[in-house]
Amino acid sequence: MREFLLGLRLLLGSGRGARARFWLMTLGSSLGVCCLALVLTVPAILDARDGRAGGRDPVVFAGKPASGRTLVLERTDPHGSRPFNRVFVARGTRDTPGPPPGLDALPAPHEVFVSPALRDQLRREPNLKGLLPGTVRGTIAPAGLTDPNELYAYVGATPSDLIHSGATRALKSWGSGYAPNPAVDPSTLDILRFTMATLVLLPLAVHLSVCARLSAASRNRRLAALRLLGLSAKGTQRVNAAETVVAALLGAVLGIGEYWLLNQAMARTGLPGLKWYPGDGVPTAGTLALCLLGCPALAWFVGRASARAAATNPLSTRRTAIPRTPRIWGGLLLVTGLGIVIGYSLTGLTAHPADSSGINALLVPLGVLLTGLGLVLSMPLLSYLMARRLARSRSLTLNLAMRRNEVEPGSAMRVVSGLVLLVFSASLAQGVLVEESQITRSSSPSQEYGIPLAGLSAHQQQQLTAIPQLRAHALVMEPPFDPDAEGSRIPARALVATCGQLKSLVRHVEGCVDGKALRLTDPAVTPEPVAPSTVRLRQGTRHISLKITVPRQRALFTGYDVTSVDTPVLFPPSELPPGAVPASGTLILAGASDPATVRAVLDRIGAISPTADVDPVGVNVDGLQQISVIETLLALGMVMGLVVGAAAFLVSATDRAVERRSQVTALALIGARPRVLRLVQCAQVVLPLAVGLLLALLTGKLAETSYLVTGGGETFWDGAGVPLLAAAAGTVLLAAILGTLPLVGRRIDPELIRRD
Amino acid sequence: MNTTEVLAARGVDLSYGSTPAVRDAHLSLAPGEVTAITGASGSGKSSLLYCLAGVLPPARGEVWFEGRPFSTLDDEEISTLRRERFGFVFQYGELLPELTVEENTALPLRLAGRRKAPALKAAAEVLDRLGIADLRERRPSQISGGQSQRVAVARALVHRPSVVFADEPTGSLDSANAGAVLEEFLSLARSQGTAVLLVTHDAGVAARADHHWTMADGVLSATGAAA
Ligand SMILES: Nc1ncnc2c1ncn2[C@@H]1O[C@H](COP(=O)(O)OP(=O)(O)O)[C@@H](O)[C@H]1O
Ligand SMILES: [Mg+2]
Repeated sequence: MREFLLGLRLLLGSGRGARARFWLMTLGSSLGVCCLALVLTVPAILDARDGRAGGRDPVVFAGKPASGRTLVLERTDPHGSRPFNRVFVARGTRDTPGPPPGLDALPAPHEVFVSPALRDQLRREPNLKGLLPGTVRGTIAPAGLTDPNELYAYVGATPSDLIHSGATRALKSWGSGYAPNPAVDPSTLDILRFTMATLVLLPLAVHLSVCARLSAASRNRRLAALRLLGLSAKGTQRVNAAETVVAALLGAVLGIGEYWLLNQAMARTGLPGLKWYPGDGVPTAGTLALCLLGCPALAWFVGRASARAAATNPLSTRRTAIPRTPRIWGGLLLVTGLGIVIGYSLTGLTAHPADSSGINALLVPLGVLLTGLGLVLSMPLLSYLMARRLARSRSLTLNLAMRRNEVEPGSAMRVVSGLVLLVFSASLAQGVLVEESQITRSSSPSQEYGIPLAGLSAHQQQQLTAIPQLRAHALVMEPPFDPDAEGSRIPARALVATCGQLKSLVRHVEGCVDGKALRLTDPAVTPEPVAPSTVRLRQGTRHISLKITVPRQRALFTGYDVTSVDTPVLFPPSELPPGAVPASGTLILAGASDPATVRAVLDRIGAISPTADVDPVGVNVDGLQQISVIETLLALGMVMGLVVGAAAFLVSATDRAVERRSQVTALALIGARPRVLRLVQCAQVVLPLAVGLLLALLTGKLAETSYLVTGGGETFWDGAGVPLLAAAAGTVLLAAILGTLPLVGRRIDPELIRRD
Repeated sequence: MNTTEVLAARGVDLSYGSTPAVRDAHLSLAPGEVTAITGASGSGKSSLLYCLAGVLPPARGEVWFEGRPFSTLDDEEISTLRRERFGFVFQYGELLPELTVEENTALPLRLAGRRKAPALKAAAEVLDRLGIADLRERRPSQISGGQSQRVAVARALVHRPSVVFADEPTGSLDSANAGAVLEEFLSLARSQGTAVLLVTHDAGVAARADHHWTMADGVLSATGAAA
């Protein structure tokens, strides 16, 4: 305790330099704590969303709705990559449940309540109105919405509007307790946590430890003096820790304040794909405790550790600035890791890329881990070797800069490592995204929409097929489900289309003859045994049956990747009895797959048949929504990592410049031009940083490729992320250069030369 | 006297804000001669030295170098002067810890644009004359205080400047070491024809100078030539 107070006394009584360092430490840690609070709060934000989603989830009675009960029908459509949810409610006459969260009463028929975001969207896109039959009567309160950006609507209807849809259920109550579609899948959330941790927490730890051991040299001199005056080794360490702990504690409090402001601001502006209410972002008690205790605790340990050398051997503090070869084993780790990663990446070039089974499931993560770890651990070695090589150059600037790097791979090096790791994990994170979007987003140029024929009138069908953005349409006839059918052979379904219609639905057709039923086969797919079947048709008010046999004559076709054209029989429309339409089956519409067209088509379909259950084949709306959330979180992590990394860099560069003031002034006095001094300052930090970032980009991409190869997707070499990463790395470099420039002033101040 | 002076101050006043540090100082330095200024700490010696070196501009009066007044030179020209015609010795040496002794010594030549090899050769010669040629490859942290002050002297003289400014050059050394370093410094400077301005609070040091001035409360007065 006595030593702690002595430490504080020294802090308060010391000169301008020490006070500047104290504030640098405080502000530095406050920034770190602010980012920490944000990272720790992200799961809480997602939880709050999911909680409200669970709280409004309709709980229904199983089976067909009994008469008189309140009916509910949920519809989810993609609006771009956002889901657009509509809940149709028809008030019943008995056991009527209360209103859902966010509404005061159940909507009456033809009353519509929309979320504020949907209200704004309706203003921009009046066509959306077709999906919401009725009059907008008000908005849904935040308690009933996951986030301020959600597209959500309650549509009041009459029972007869809803009863014909098979998905309509009798409503028991609201609130099932768990979210039907969590914002991020629990398994993805784990990967996300891990990535965020490497993206943010590692640079953060580096940053905090940089802040905690600022001005090592001058501080060590002071500590050594204390030690020589008779303070014990432990006591000396405590004296040093006192300053860092107080700075860290103050920084933590400031950081929480900064986070509070940030939360208010970000909740208002929102992030792409992720918006939250300010209340959702309030840090939990655990987060607060971790920030307020963890940061000073880390500072205490770093402060004690950094004073150990000065405390145990006070006479050694002068003996700095002797170049020492950094340890070699970091390089060995890097080489081993890269060996594994390159090996797996190379199999991507062969006909048989490695998969993720067996030993590969272990080796790939190991290789990635070793590469990342080795990269960080070998940065001092690489920088040292480079410095030694370049220090012998004939250029004075390089000579001065590299001599400095040779002897001091210290704090600046840790910062460089942090940034390098950031770029490395960012490129790995892109691998995760690529993998994820390969699963969710179809790469097909064609988008199909399947709409059940039940519930569609002939007129509606006609309107639907006339939507201008569509390229093709056809019907799939399905035999009614027959429990007595023999197990091994599937009753035949038939595509009702002309050869022309078929051609525009698939990539390629061969051997199609109009006016004849044909056996449809895709040479790439092994055909399943098919049995003849009977389908039911509607002819005006009459029902008739039509027998479908499996024809001999074949037509070959190659479909798009994701398609519902997989029927074994092609049936010409001309062979249908006049005026007859299939009673059960699906209307298939096809158009271009670009998001704008998809959105336009879905709006038109909604306007024609608001309650139709449209299946946008191959589009996973929840998946798309998740990707945009994940993308946002990763980008957020990366931005924070960059901010923290750049801050650590600036803090450490400023600190070193302050420490070296007298030497730099002496240099200026003997006539060194400011330009030379700036160049030296720049080269000294920028060269190792540039080499490190370049290496990180390369190894990161290799690690990503090995991950993608064994992940089994189609993309192995993801070049799309490279410009972004290169830009980020360039930004860091630029920030580094700009950050070092003001450290050399124009004016010479002889005051800065040490005197007694 | 006027024909042999290399640097001269005429009626120089200097103040920090409202605190005057130097009042109406007249001083001239001749090639190959040592001029010492002694005085109590805070009397304004360093201020006058940096004023003569063109770092602090005087509030009144003028400093002349080889017949040219500083007030007619721009910043770049004064920097060039400091680089090529002046040398500095500081109390704590202020060597760059990461450079070797030889690189530290060669620094003024390198800053003036000299190639690496000839610069290092010139440095080696000066180090040899100061008797520390064997320390060439060491770093400042690997040599003693007296040795690093010798390196600082070597750095100040390596480019054969016209004037060397030395602010308490032996202030960090014990008296035996201080005597030896000062002896080598002054004899090398004299042999090169370099004028030395020696600022110190140590009267024993001043005794070795050719001219001796005293400073008190910013006022410079002649003590007469030393013995
Ligand atoms: N940068 C400065 N700002 C304000 N006052 C200063 C500054 N440098 C020196 N002084 C004052 O000017 C006077 C002369 O200082 P200095 O030239 O350093 O004296 P000396 O070198 O003889 O010890 C002293 O009173 C000192 O306090
Ligand atoms: Mg002084």
